[in-house]
Amino acid sequence: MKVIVAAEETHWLCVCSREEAICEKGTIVPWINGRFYPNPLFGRALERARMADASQVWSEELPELERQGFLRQGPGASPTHDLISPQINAGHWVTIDHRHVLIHDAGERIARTANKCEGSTDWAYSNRKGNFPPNTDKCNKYVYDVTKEAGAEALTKGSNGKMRPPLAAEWADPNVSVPNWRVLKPGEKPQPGDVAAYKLPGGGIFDSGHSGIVTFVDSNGMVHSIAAHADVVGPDDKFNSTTDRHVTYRRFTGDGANGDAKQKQGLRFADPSDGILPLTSAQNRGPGRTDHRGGF
Amino acid sequence: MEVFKTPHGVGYRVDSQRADLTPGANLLRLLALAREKHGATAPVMVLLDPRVPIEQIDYVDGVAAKVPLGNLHYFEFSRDTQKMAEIEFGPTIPYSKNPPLN
Repeated sequence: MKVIVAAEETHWLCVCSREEAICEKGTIVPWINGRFYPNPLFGRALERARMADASQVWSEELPELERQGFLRQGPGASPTHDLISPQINAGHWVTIDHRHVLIHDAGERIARTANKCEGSTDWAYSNRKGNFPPNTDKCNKYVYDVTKEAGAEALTKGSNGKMRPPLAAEWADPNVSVPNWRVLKPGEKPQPGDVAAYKLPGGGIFDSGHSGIVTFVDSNGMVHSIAAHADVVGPDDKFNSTTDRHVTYRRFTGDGANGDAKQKQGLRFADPSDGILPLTSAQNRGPGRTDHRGGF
Repeated sequence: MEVFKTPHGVGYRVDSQRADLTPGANLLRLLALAREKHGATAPVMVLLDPRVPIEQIDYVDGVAAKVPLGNLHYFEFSRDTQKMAEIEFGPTIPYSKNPPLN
């Protein structure tokens, strides 16, 4: 199997042969000015912007463009900003058997979705949110909504046999099964996108525990998270185990329900809406230089 | 805020109001009301009855984090002596018989 590592988080240019630019179902993916764009509309717009903005040093790599403020929003920003920014961190592209495959990092996607809600009052105690009435705590509703939007819906079986969002205490209880979410082993380091939760025994059903989404882990191992609080969604650094408060972390393992091995691995084939195919910095320097062989 | 021993366990009082398990007066709700009243950064004095389990500190800390309230100060108080002392914690570290000492 020939695999071309075609992406790093911060690069988007594509250099590979025209023959390889064939997606599933035999769709020919357009090449525009020698670059491969799964999203042809985006590609044409970007190439037009490149042609119109000859003063820009387009051969520079993304970090250089960022350093120059090319991606800056507001006055003076490049007209292509809005076209480029949605392409960043979309996932990792590889080419397998002449097909382009986007490897989604589910954790990053969940964390990104969670961060998107920072400052929102939708899950505030006094507000109604979905089937959660006003004057209820909604930290678990926030976790559920985020995981659902990120394509990693978390449900557990209630006492009536029906599937429902887990309570915070259920997230925190390693013995409670949440399909497609595994409990991290002791000592296993949390990652962005993991769900973190701890129990608050004695709080009753209105305050069974607290749950949130891990956003990053610093160099000291401190877990930083985001959670729905009484009035607003915001950062929460209390999802670190203490002597008497054990924090449980769970990680999305993929949708095993359909038995699709690709989905279990977080893979899917190129979708034209995903935009331009990214590539490594080495590829950015010229064609054919990053033809890594081997499996993944 | 006060954490005290009761015949059936532990009780809580926030701004003189006793917490219970109802939606309007559970500990989380009372702390949220206190946050609204005094502000998110106002210092919260947590007075702990020495007879309550020490794990109550982590419990109160966990509930406060949910509100969120961050500026918590824990005191052990004695009605008998009418004195109290602040309890301060270092970072959580792995169990050891030879922990690092400052």
